[in-house]
Amino acid sequence: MNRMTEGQAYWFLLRNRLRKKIELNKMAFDLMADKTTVFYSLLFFGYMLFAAYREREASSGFLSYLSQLLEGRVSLVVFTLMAVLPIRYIFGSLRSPGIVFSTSEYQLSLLPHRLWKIWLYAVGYQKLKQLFLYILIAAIVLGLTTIGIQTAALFIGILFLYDLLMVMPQWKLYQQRLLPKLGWLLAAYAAGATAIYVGSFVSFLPLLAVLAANVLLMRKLFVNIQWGQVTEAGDFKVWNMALLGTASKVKMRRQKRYRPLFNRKIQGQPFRTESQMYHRLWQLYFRKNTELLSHALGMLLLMLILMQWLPGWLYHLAIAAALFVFPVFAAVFFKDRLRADLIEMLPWNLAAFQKALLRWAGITGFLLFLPIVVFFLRNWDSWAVVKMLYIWTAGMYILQVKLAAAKAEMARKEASLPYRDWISSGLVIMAALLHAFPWLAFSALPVLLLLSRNRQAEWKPRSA
Amino acid sequence: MAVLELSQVDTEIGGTLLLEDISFSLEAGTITALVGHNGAGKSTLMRTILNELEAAKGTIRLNGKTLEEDLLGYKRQTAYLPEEPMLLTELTAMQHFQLYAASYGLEEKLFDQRLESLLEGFELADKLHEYPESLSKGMRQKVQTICALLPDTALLCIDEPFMGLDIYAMRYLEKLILEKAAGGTAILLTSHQLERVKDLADSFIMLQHGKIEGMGPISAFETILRRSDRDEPHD
Repeated sequence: MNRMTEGQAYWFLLRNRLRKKIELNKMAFDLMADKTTVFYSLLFFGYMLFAAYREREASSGFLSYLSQLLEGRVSLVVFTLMAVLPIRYIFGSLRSPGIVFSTSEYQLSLLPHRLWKIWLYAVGYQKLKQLFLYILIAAIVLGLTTIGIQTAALFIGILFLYDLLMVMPQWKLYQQRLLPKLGWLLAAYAAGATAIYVGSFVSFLPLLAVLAANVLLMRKLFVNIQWGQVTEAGDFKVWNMALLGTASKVKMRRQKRYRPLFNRKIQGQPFRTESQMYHRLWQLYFRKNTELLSHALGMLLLMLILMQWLPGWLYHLAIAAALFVFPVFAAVFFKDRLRADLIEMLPWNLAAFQKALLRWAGITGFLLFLPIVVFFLRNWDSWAVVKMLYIWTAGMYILQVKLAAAKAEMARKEASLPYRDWISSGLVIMAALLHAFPWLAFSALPVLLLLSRNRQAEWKPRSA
Repeated sequence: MAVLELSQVDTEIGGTLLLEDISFSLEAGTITALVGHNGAGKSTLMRTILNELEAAKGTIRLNGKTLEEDLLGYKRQTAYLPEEPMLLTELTAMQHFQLYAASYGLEEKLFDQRLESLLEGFELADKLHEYPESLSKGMRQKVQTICALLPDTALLCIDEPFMGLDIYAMRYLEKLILEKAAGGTAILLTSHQLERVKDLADSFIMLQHGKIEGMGPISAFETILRRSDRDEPHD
């Protein structure tokens, strides 16, 4: 038998992975679908295609306008892409090494095969797949619009170039702790914003920085790699199959492994107080859900920053949206935290858990409040202070109400004082109307009273 | 000539020194028991020899060559049976055997002969086309054991070989280990089943807190030190 090369070994793995995934999907499909469902699904799909075709006819004028708009600003779009694309990969490093390198790939590298070659094959395969996807999307865009093939090729080229050049930086950054990642993310935002602001060829500076990073990282590509963490992300990516999840009604979670290098010595000290323990549990949870958190909060923050330049009544709508969304997120996290890592099984002190979350929510809420303060400073009038007071107190009140409801649900109790939900909704609506009726802001005072009453109405902590 | 030679090897993870100043050699056709308390560094030492962990200091030579001199040659001359089965989710038992045989370049005829005999010995013939998740832990261990025993290598590292195996499989594995050694393979094995190890091994290396605390012929071995026995030698 001829000795198997790395390429053959990787291909052997890919072929069998695909075969197994097809088998699993077929099983899931058989479990979910019957002939009637398939028939109606096909009918629906056919109708959707037909509708899309008709829509194309109807919207050809609009699409042609969009195409002309893009063709006229190609250089601007290119400069912007060059400046901001690295952010995408640095952001991605919070959760993924960028390359799917599962336990199986790692085990191949333990056999008489070179690790770097297996890794290179994994990169090659995944990047080719990505290129194929870009070409497919470009073909659809070319079919629907009047964008020229050269423009489409240029955009694909830029996207693919960054896909290749950011492989090593993302791979190495993924191995770092959270703070360096956030530091690099901030630096990339700053560099991107500066490049866009200055414009023209300065936008290529991030590309030069990425090229330099590649040269520097090449020699240390496999030094200090957290393989457990890399393969954990890879396994999740490979085996988290949507159809299978739907059929089995089991949501696949990433299997977290021990991360010796990620635990600081100070965190290894025994807990001295109960509150320290609860804060640590929240900290661990936030770290595990960094990506989700940064997406959710990033969206709200971005909305509150970008909408500053829109008419005032629209900004008040954005504030109302944030007042509604932020507490809902906090409540979802609260419930999920108690269900994750078997924590639900333990007799936790729910009130202390909530208190710990409130502290974190306060810090985050303050971050979201900053652009609102900037808005009122930029649009200063005699109502500004009262309005800000209203927004902060309303936010705190709604947060308390949502958390109390979540806590009641977890404790399997009826939520006391159901009218609080109505008050919360009223506060959100009033925030949206503050621009037209600023005097509504005076309701901050009764809200403050409600806040203090709520504290008294809380159940006493369990003595568990 | 020594098959494996370690000279003043240190291993560290994240700045923590896990192995310190490890030096020993293994002769062809010998079985060496690597013994020590939990956390003494046995598995770390094996992973260092197998290049899964990089040695921070010192040299490791296999048949006179270091990893840096001939990486693939080094890997082709080592086989590993881990404590926990490390099977690939994508492959059936049979595909695992094919992958190992092809990766080590085992002759087809020899592969068929060996596989037939090993499947019979481990009573695994009816599980050939099963994926790892549908096998019991013991069955998975048997698949992993066959994978490690298929190729002819100069060095075979075995970490807790009897874990999860029934009494018949244990006896069969003992026989196979002795056959491998008789064929010239140097075997380094760890086990907490000290009586079984005493019957099997020619010599021992005792680790304590990441350092070699003693070594010699197995007849001189009495028992391992406790983790808390820091300095005082054991009677």
